[in-house]
Amino acid sequence: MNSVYTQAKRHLRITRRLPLNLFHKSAIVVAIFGVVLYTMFFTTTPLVHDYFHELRHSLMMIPCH
Amino acid sequence: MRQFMQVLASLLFFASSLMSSFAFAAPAARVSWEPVTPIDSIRPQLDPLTLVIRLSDAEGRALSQAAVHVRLEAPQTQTLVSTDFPVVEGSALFDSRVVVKDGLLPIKIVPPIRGSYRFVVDVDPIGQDASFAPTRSEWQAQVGENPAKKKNLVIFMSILIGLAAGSGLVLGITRPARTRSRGLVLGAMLGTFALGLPSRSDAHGDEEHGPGQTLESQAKSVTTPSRSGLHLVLDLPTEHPRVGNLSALHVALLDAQNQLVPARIELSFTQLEHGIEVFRTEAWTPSGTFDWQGQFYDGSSHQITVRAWPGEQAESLTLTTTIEVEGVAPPPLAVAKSFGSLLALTAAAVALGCWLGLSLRNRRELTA
Repeated sequence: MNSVYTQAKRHLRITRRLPLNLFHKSAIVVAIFGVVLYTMFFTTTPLVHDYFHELRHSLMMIPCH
Repeated sequence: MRQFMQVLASLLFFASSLMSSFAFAAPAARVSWEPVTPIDSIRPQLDPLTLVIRLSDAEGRALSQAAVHVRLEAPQTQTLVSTDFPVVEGSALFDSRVVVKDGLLPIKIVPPIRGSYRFVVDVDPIGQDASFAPTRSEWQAQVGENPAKKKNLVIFMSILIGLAAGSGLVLGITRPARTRSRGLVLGAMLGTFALGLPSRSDAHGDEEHGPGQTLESQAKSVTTPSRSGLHLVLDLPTEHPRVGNLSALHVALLDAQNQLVPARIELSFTQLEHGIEVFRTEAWTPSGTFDWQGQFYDGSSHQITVRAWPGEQAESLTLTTTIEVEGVAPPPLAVAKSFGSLLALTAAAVALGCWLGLSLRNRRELTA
């Protein structure tokens, strides 16, 4: 537990020192949103597809089977 | 004089043949349709579009018997946003030739998607029947989207815009870094996409819907137990039905000597996942066989029910069987359209949030 906490602190410190401007940060945020949206609504992996199946059909614009 | 007589005779012959063709040409049949439920209230995947196709002669009398080719086409692909059944878009939901008795053909189908459905009905006389001429009739039915789904989409979009704009706002307010590292950002973006994209491969094989997976071949024929010497036989397609394609079903009513028996046949499909009867029709079969080409638009288990009333008897035979429908992964274009729309909306919301954040930060720095 202590090692996880230490690792987290270390990564936080590294992340804070990352030299990124606003455009880069925005692009990363959009990319993260994209990955999450794709995984939830468009991936065909059975485990994910089954879990979000009803949600996909309830949004009228997510293509499914 | 002789030439004049020849010309006159040929003119008279032409005129008489023209008149006779008009006088004895059978008039076209009248084809009309009556929706049993108001089309405006139909919600795709939930409510059935129930209609009765009425066939009558020029005087309005119901046609005693007619061969009817009936076809229903699903709405065409929409330009901007996909529906939730993109494989069905523009495909035929059924395309069959049946015999209609007493001028009535009832059809019930639960429309899978929003949009304009096109019905095409061709009516032809059977045998030497000259009471009407072959007639084609077409009409369209506009089915709207389920209001609950529209509401869900608005809620979802609001949450997405809120989250994306909030993220942009936080980014805009925070102070900028001193140096740049383009390679790191590009690496991070490519890495995140690389993690997500491989799942797009043909792994659309789940227990419920099974798109893309190869299903085991099914029994070809189902037969009811013999009752009073009669038995009903349903021939299923050799391959499992696939979403987007028509599947041919063949029904036959046989007596104890395996002779075909004329009957009234009712065919229905029930989608078992939600327990909804998605299709039903009824037709008369003077030959004792009934063929239907229809599409199962949901890649899940369906129950097929066939009822047959031999001759004019009130007692019927019923046959029920379950069929597995093979789902199909959505086409890349449909995915690209919907995913692109969501991503563009997210990017716009993040940009808006950044702009707001920058404005707030500048104002704060000016006042400080």
